[in-house]
Amino acid sequence: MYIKKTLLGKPKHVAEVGDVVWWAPKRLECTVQSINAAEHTMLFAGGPSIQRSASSKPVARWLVHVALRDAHWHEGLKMWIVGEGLYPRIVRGVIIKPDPITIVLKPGQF
Amino acid sequence: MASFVYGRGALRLIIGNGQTPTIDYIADTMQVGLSTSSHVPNKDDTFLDDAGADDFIDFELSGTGYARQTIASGKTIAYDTANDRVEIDGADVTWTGINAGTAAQATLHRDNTTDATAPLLANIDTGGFPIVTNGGDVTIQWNAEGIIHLTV
Repeated sequence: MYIKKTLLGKPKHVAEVGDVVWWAPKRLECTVQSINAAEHTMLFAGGPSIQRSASSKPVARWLVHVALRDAHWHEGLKMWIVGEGLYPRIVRGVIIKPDPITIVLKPGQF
Repeated sequence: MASFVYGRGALRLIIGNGQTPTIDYIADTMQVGLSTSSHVPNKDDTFLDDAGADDFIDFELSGTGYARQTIASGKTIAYDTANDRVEIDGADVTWTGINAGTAAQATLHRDNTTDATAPLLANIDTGGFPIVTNGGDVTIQWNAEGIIHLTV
């Protein structure tokens, strides 16, 4: 993200690869993957990596293509907001972030 | 020790019938408690109070700002087709202004009439544990993909 001045002198954030995106409907923090300046669109990805086939490389679970005009920069959260939904909570203090506990169910175990 | 799901907790959750009390994750009141490192959890443990010497109840935190927190909203059990797994999720829990010693782990359980009949579901000790509570807030922010995964 870099800031450019508009004709009125107001700062305007310009999206860059690597910027954080808050996908509000999913309440998911994503990352800008690419920007198409000609079409004024961007691609962002988020969620855990999944492998669609044994021979393919892992890809993010969610890959979203949006128009740049549909994303707005939230100065307080320092991220782009896309869609409608709850914003991320600003949590103070210590935050514990445990990984999911996985139980693998195999035939014959139950 | 890594986080794990208690064996009988999984049984109650999955099978239900024949297990008393059952764990209906959506309908029941699910709570999270904190305990010290002296609590030695075992996958075979059944209730918060198993009448042993190192149960959760024996080394639960006690002090300012501590109380077992209820997963008050957002409880879901859904199947993720992309990853072939059942995802159990819920809202984050927060202890406000807690000063009650060092929390080494969290215990997810069903709230019941007594601790001796409150069935255990999971023990969580990753993601930042142990923490020394010092009057600030402590939040357990569950992973965006859920608390427990049952992978088929």
